[in-house]
Amino acid sequence: MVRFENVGMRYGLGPEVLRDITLELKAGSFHFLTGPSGAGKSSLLRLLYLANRPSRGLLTMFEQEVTRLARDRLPDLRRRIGVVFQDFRLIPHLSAFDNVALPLRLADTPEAQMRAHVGELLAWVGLADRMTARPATLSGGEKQRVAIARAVIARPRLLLADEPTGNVDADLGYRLMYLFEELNRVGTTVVIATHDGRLIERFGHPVLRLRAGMVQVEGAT
Amino acid sequence: MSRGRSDLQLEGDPSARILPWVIGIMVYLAALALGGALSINGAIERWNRALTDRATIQIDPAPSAEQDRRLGLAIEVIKTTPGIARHEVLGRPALIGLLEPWLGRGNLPGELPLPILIDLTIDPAAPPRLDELRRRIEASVPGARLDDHSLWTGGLVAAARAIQALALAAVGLIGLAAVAIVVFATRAGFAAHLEVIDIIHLMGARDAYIARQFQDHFLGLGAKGGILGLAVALATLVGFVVLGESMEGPLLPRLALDWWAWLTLTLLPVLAALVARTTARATVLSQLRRMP
Repeated sequence: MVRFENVGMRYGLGPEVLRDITLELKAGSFHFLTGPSGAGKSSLLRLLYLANRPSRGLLTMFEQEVTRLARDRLPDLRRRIGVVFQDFRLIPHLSAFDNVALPLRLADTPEAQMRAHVGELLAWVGLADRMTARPATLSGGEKQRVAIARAVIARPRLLLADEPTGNVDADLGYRLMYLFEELNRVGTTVVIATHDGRLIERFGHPVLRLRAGMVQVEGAT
Repeated sequence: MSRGRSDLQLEGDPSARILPWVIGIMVYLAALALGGALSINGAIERWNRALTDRATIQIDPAPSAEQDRRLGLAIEVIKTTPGIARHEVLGRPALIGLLEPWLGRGNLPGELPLPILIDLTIDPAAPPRLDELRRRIEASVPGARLDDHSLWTGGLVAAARAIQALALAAVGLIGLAAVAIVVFATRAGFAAHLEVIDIIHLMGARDAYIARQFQDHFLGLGAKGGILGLAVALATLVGFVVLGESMEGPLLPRLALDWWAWLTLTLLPVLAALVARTTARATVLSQLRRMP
């Protein structure tokens, strides 16, 4: 599914923020990504959701080496990836419904099918009565659930979440984790970036631990 | 991709309020310049039609018997020259009529010697070689000259063509200025919506999907401004036409536009809209290419 081979990454002419990353995320695996602030978690996630390309090394995703892949072929790969951003990154002028519907619209899903799926998912995350609300009127937890719904609506093959439980209470946090595990059980590869040691301990999935731009894999993969 | 949807909400941008007015002013100026240029085209054609199929033989004044002899020689040359459809010797009243604008009515002394003027109408299908005719008339008839008006019309047409070229250059410059303004407006819009564009881009939106939202938006702004500018320009041009018809002055070209010239002018808003659309699309695609 995803393979890093001696991957290094730098922003512009700056120093390398990731060095010699070699790891493999098998299809259907579930990993936590953790490490101290500045260790390179966000940069690794940016490589995984194709916001950046490696400065060196090889990165293979969905059986395609993306370092030198033609730019116009990246959108197809990005549609197979769902991302829950730490700051949600909801589109402020779109309703909760339209935010969640966006990946389906980009994939040209028929309108009726799209409406049914989005309505069902928003009801599932407890936002059936908030579908028409704009992000500015949603609480932190509601925004997070909209962001998660948007990330999973198109049934991505790879789901990335950056601190997805950071803005919700413990109960909802666990519920969201169960949702991620449910998606993982039907084949979605999941990577959750978190600082929450208790969450990592409770769910017991393998851990990618980053220190000073280098990664160490802990636990069975 | 779903068409017609706007994820970026560009309609709330400052460009949506300002750009139609800017494009409207540009289309107004372009329509006036183009209207002037097309009108000059018509005037040049009219001058050429009126003067290139005419020539005049002038014979200097001489005593009556000599003048009759010279006229006879000139007529002989004219009749033996192929390509002259018609000739007419202007009588004394017609000659006096030509001088009246400068000397006033009734101010010519009766004994004032006047030249002979022979007005030639040239067969446009088989025009004579005027150089040959000039050589023969000057050799055969003392004091005779051929004036084919080429000097006068040549200068006039050259001046008119220069003005026309300037007007068309002005239209081109206005077009370039419009392109520059749309580029700046598009870049400003792109920068203002960069965050949303980045999200959509990361979700797998193709460049064409994002560019379409800008190009549709700017197409609408261009069309709105273009129609506004053209409406005011047409009112101005109609005003000029009406004013021109009420003025007397044969040397000044009237603003007279053929139906196809009016049609050309009505295409300006379409052109403005297409220029805005194409420029916005190219600008957005160029900005997107800088993203991974």
